[in-house]
Amino acid sequence: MIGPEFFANIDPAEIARASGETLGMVGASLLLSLALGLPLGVWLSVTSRQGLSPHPLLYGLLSFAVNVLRSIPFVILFILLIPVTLALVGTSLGVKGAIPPLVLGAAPFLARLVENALREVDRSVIEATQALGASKRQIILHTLLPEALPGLIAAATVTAIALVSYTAMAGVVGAGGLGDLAVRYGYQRFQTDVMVVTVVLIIALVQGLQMLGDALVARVSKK
Amino acid sequence: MVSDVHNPASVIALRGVTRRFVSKSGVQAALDGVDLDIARGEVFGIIGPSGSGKSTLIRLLNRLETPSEGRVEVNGVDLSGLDARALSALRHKMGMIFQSFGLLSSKTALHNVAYALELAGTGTSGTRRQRALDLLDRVGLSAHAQKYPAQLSGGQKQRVAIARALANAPDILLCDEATSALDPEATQGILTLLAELNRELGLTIVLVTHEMEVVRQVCDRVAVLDHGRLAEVGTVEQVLFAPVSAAGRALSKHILPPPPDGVGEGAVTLTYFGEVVYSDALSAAVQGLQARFSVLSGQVSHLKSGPYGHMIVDMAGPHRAEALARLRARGVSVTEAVQ
Ligand SMILES: Nc1ncnc2c1ncn2[C@@H]1O[C@H](COP(=O)(O)OP(=O)(O)OP(=O)(O)O)[C@@H](O)[C@H]1O
Ligand SMILES: [Mg+2]
Repeated sequence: MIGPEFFANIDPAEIARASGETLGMVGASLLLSLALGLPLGVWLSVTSRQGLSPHPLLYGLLSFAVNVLRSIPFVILFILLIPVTLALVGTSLGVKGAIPPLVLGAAPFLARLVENALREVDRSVIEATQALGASKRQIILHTLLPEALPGLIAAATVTAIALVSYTAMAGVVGAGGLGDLAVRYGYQRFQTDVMVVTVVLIIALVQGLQMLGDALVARVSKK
Repeated sequence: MVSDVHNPASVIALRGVTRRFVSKSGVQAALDGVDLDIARGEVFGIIGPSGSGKSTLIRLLNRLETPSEGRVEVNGVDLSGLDARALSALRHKMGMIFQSFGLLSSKTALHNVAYALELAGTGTSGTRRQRALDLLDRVGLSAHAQKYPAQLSGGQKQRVAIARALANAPDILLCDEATSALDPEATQGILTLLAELNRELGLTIVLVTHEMEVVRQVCDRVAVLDHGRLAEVGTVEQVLFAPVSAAGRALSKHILPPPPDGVGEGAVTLTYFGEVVYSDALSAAVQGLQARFSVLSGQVSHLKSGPYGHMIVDMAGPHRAEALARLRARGVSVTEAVQ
């Protein structure tokens, strides 16, 4: 049986601090990823072959850049970006140092999901809006984005969850947070209890994000 | 027979319009050298089998599609010369409805209609709301203003789409298979509404369909498309009762069944319009004569222009020619059924 002595190594203050760091990293990088990935996804969608303003060359370049960033494993991206991170935020450690690689890893991922969500918007709705004399800008802002809202929220949810796992990996290379705790205590010092608690907290975070996302999607979906 | 009244002051004119599409299987002309004039205030049908170019044609009229060759003019203005701003202005004055409705699923019926006003930049949110309510009332949907499209039936969705298309008081309404996704009852409702709008607002309606029945009920004139070419254009009477093209004949058969099997030498086809339909023309034709008739097949129904009768009658007896002459004298068109 697992008794209270099993949790001998648990320091609640330390766990709380690490959880706060993880939440901060996920929150900040999600916001920045949205700010970058949403316009990028719209751009991809608009320039794609079936888009509002097809532009094969531009689409090809954007799409390639997105694919390159998406295919680099996150830990490697983190290390590769250290010079850039240093230039941007002055450190490659801690929460601050983790934000640039997190955003650069997640924004292209989100952009692709946004492109897919926009593609799901019924062609006939876009055509009907065009027939009403809407400008491209009006179509994007007032037809495409509102119609794709449930899909966009789902995309943000998937991205947030991906960010949780990225932050855990970032913890391994010095970013702090729950991942850092798991590695430093749970793995290097064989404190199994710390490992279990951090993993449970990460699972709870992922589960919470998914439930929140699903609830929001259900709320805005009128289909 | 009513003649084809050509109105020189046409609201829509196509001149030598060709539209080619490039696909893997090569270059294909969806429309090939089409000339067409549509007059103000008429209900103009465009009919043809699947793939004949109907949608391509109607989409040229508000430049959702552009011609590869030729010219499209609306109210005397060549559409190819319009910049984005002028094109928006044109589209505000040209409503369009589709088979799949094209309503925004994220907006209520009311908001869908108000959205058209918003795009055109007319009014304040208060006046837009009021106008949207009035329009929904006009199409018989005031009770459903707050519903989302997913909560409406197909016929109701198409009514919202019509209200939206009318929001900016257009003088032309384009309909691409507007009733094709609807059941017969909803179809009737929409056709009746379109006929009312044409009558009350003087709205010019261009209506694409693959069903001759729709043309019969609401159109003044109709163009028959066949493989991207204009097979014939004429009044509904002409195309229905005296088609000159193979495509026209095939379509008219959907409405007017061919003579029954074994129809004899003496059978004649009688076609008549207007008052004659309600008269005693048939019985009067044989009165006091040595002639008798039996009806082999027949149909009495309505066109937009009024009632018509169409019958295949076996006419026999020594005075057959005299009886047929009496029918002609009453304005009945008589042709031998077996030619
Ligand atoms: N965007 C396009 N790209 C390539 N080919 C096209 C395109 N639009 C139409 N076509 C082709 O042009 C022809 C005419 O198409 P159109 O949609 O005008 O026919 P339609 O008469 O409306 O048919 P339906 O009754 O099935 O709606 C078809 O062969 C179609 O495949
Ligand atoms: Mg079509």
